[in-house]
This record gives sequence, structure tokens and C-alpha cells, in this order.
Amino acid sequence: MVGAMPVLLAAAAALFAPKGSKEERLDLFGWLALSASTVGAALIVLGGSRETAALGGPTLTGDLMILASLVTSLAWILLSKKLMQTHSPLVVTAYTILSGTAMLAVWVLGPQLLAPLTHAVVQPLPFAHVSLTAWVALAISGLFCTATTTLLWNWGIHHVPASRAGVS
Amino acid sequence: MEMNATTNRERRLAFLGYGACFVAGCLWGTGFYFGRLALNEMSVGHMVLYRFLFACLGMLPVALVHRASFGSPPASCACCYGALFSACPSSFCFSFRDWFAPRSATPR
Repeated sequence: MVGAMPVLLAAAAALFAPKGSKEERLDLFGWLALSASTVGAALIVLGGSRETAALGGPTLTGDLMILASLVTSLAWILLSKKLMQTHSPLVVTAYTILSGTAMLAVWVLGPQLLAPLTHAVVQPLPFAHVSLTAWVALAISGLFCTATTTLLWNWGIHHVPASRAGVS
Repeated sequence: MEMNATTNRERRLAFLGYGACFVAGCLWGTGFYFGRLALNEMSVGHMVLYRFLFACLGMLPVALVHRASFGSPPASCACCYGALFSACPSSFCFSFRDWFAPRSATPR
């Protein structure tokens, strides 16, 4: 499903492109290339070992969450591209991450803060017992795999059509 | 002559743009490995929150320097709207995939 992202992005970019704009339209070769990338991803997934699937089999919830993540990713890419017509990729990246973190904090910490009122059993925020390895992994994934990645992606789609950037 | 220079510049920018997207894709993929390391010691929600907090540390100086350019309410709203429907839910869902979706389909 995630492998279908480039095709979905190309279709969405063409669908929501400004009227008269040909930048986001793909030619036949482009569509064939995108389809080939999706088929390649599907072959890798379908050809994978099923031995570990028994540990956590596929569920409708999981599939729906992946679908939701694809839709939100599409919305994010197209909205960011629109926003970067008036603001720099650096600024858009910074504010997207900051506002996204604020929402995430409410989502994750909200139940914990409301626990005395709701009497719900919630997992406390892990801090003191977290190992150095985990902190380093979190720092690397935050600074490089999230902040740098988002900045590079935003800068990239600012200079190339979003429909073609999905292949990268 | 001037047109040639413009075309060359556009080509160079397009090349760099595709390169930036490619590097972003590679870096994003490594996040699964580092995320897995952290997941040994905490839940998915806490891992994603900490990950974004570290990302904020890197982006906070940028936001402070450029805060004037985001003074207009429509732009701020658009950015929040983008964030709400983008980064956090996506990361959440992609991470949750480890628990709900087929293990064989999860990048290692």
C-alpha cells in the first residue's frame, strides 16, 4: 500500500494542480515509470517471508491506519507545496514540525494529564530508565530522519513537480 | 546567452531538487531502524513524541529567526492545518504499522 504512494501522489498532484498548469501532468512514460515502481514494491512485499506474520497478523485496523497515513501524507505534500509559494521551505518545515509536535504532545500526554479525572490506567512517560542507546537513536531519528528529511523533501518539491518527486 | 544561463540554472535546480528528495527518502528509511531501537524501551506514542521533540530542537532556532515572516494569520493557520493532517498522524500510522500490519511488509 505504501508502495502505491508515488502513483497516488502523481494522481493527486495532477488533480489538484492549478487550472492551466501543465507542470504536474505526467506523460505516458511517467505513468509507466510510476506504475513500474509500484509493481516493484508490491513484488518485494508479496515475495517476503511469511514466517513472522504469525506474531502479528494483518488486521483491518492496521490496513486502515496505513490508508489514513497515505491520505494525510498526500494532504501534507500538496499543502506544503502551496504554502511554499509564499514562504521558504525552511520556514514551512520549521513551523510544520513545531505545530505537529504540539498536536502530538496533546495526543500522547493528554490522557496522562486527564488520568486523575478519568481514572484510566495510562503508561507514564518513560524518562529515567531510558538507556543511552535509545536516547541517541531518538536524537538521530529526530534531527536527521525527521527534521533534515522534511527540510530536504520540502526543498526538493519546491523545485520539482510533486508528481515526479514521489519517485525519488 | 542569458536564456541559456537561465535554462542551465533551472536544470541544475531540478537536479538538486530530485537529489534532495532522494536523500530525504534514504534518511527517512533509516528512521525505521532507529525507531525500532527506541521502541524496545517505550511505547509507539512516546517514541514518536520524543522523536518530534528532538526534531523541534533542530528547528526551533529557524522558527525564532523567521517568526516575523509567519506573522500573517492565514499562513499560520495553513501551516497548522498542514501539520494536523500531515507529519504527526503519518508518523503515528507508519509506526503503528509495525504492530498492526503484516510483519513481512515492514521495512527493517
